[in-house]
Amino acid sequence: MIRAIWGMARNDIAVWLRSPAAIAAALLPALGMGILVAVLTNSVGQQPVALVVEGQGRLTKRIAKIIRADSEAYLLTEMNAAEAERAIGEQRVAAIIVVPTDFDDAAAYGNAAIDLYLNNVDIDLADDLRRSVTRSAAEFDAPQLGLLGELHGPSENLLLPNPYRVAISERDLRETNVSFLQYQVIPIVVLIVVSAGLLGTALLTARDFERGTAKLLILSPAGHLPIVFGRLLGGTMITLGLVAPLVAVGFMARFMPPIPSWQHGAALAALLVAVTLTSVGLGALLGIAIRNDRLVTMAGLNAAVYLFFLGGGFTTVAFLPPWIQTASRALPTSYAIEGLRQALFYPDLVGFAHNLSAIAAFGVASITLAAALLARAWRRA
Amino acid sequence: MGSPFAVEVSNVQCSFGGIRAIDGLSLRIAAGTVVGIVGANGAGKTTLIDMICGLVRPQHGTILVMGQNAAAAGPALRARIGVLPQETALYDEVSARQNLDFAASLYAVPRAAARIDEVLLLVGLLERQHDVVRTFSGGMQRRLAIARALLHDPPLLILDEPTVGVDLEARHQIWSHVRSLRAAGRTVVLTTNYLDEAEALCDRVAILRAGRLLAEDTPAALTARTGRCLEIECSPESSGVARETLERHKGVLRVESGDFGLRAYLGATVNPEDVVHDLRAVCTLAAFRTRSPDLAEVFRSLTTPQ
Repeated sequence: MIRAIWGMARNDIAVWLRSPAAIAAALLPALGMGILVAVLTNSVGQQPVALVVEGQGRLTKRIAKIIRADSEAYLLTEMNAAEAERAIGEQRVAAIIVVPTDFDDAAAYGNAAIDLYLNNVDIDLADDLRRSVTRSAAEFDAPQLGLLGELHGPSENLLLPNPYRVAISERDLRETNVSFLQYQVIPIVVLIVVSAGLLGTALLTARDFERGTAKLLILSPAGHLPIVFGRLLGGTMITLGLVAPLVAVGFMARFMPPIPSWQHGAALAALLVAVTLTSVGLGALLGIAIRNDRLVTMAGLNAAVYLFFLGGGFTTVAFLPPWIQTASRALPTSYAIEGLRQALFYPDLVGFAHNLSAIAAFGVASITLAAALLARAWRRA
Repeated sequence: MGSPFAVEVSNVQCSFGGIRAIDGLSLRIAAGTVVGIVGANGAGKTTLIDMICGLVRPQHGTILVMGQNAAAAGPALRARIGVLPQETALYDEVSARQNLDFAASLYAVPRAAARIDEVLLLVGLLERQHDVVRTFSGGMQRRLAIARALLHDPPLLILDEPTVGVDLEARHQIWSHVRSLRAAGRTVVLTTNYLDEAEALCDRVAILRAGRLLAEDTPAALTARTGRCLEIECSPESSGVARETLERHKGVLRVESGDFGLRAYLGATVNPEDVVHDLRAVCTLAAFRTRSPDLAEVFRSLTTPQ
């Protein structure tokens, strides 16, 4: 029995390794989505801005230093006024920040201003820049409201004096902020697992019907169960084999944050295996339903993308409209994404067990259904 | 002592939807023989094969394979049957050896590596064992599929149209393999559309039409049953009257038109010279000859409605 299971799994892996187009079909859309997220993250977070410092005074230098330090918001280039005017006209920069000659004098009387020339063609980008410049101006008077406060968190329970009438007492869930890119990479990991598992197993299953090997499998004396489990094991090994190196690269390149503890590492591994099993089961079901190589590729990719975005691929499910939240509860990807965020971003694993249980239930259901239907479908092939 | 028959099909009936694929068919296949199942497309050949393999259950009747009910075939019976499906069913992305390795794991073949070498040598593919199957010709793929069917050394081999779509040379190579299987005492059931193949390879031939068994006998007996063939060359003007004369003759079983003239199948007791004498009385014959009919003619005479 073990020999038949392993034989089936090994054969599936060999077939898969000789199918570069299928590997590309499984990985490229997910990796493309990752690149898209990285590019969008970069373009949403940082805008090209020209800084024109006209004065030489102490306060001028201080406000310029604050602006220069906010590398999270600006891709800054220092220019003179004429160069800056040309740059915004040629759309090489989105805004010009001018610290005027009289900044020090005006600041002494409490009516200093910095000038912001803004290309406001895109309200979203323009508002980001407005908020960033406001933050820089606020930091001039109240350092805890500036970038340092955002990056390193507030002093716990310590209300620093500030020029406003209402102070803010912030308590963070994490010791450090998670970058937007790291936050967005988690759903991409889930998309890769789902694409590889779903498409890989669906293609192997569909091809068995197309080339007649389904008949051969069912005629063998090995029995249905070892063959079915061999197929599911093969799909699982293929998926983990593709995903594991990519996840390792993600950690090494710091696209994913360091794992907080060994418990978090174990939780991450358990969740990846559960998502893989679910995807493999769903892939087998898809292959049974659509017994055609090309159609199964198209359907598999579409299914993976819908599972991705309806499961909260672009943001936290709880922040989405109610109907998407309801739909998400029926999808394994929502639990997978939430669980992975728990495992990587939060100091404790509260809520993780719920997500792992849900995804494991999806896994058991899809694998059981696939096992039952595969043998039946092969017999009727 | 067990049954002398490898396969016993008794009054089997099988329908798909409203279509009756097999209709009250009975057939016995003696162990150690090569039996051909011939019939036009849709005659029920593949359904019969699938029932013998245990893939399809008959709605009525029984099929015993080596003494066991095929419909309830367990792993032990499946391990004694080798099947070459019509579509070869090979994993064409991997090598010939990987295909056989996989089959060996499914059939729990002992000393698999040595056995794989043996069957690859038998079908002449040992030197191409590491080549990807996609690069093989149709004939080579068929030979590899035969090697896979033989891998677990089954006493019963079922070959579903083993030479369909292969060139002449490959076809003769496959014939040679089938002959060696018969020499080794294996039972071979093969379906084919090629009557010359059945004639060349089979000890007995079963002819199916619309799910029914029309005839089952040795090729020689089937030929004799059709009668001697008398071919007559005559002018187009004479062929009408010649045909009428032949059809009126009591000893003539059947008359067909050909490019050259007419072809008549004669009963066993009829003297061809008497028929020619009668024809010469009514028309002029350019030439005539007698010969034994081939299996194609036997098939046509049995399957074409009178």
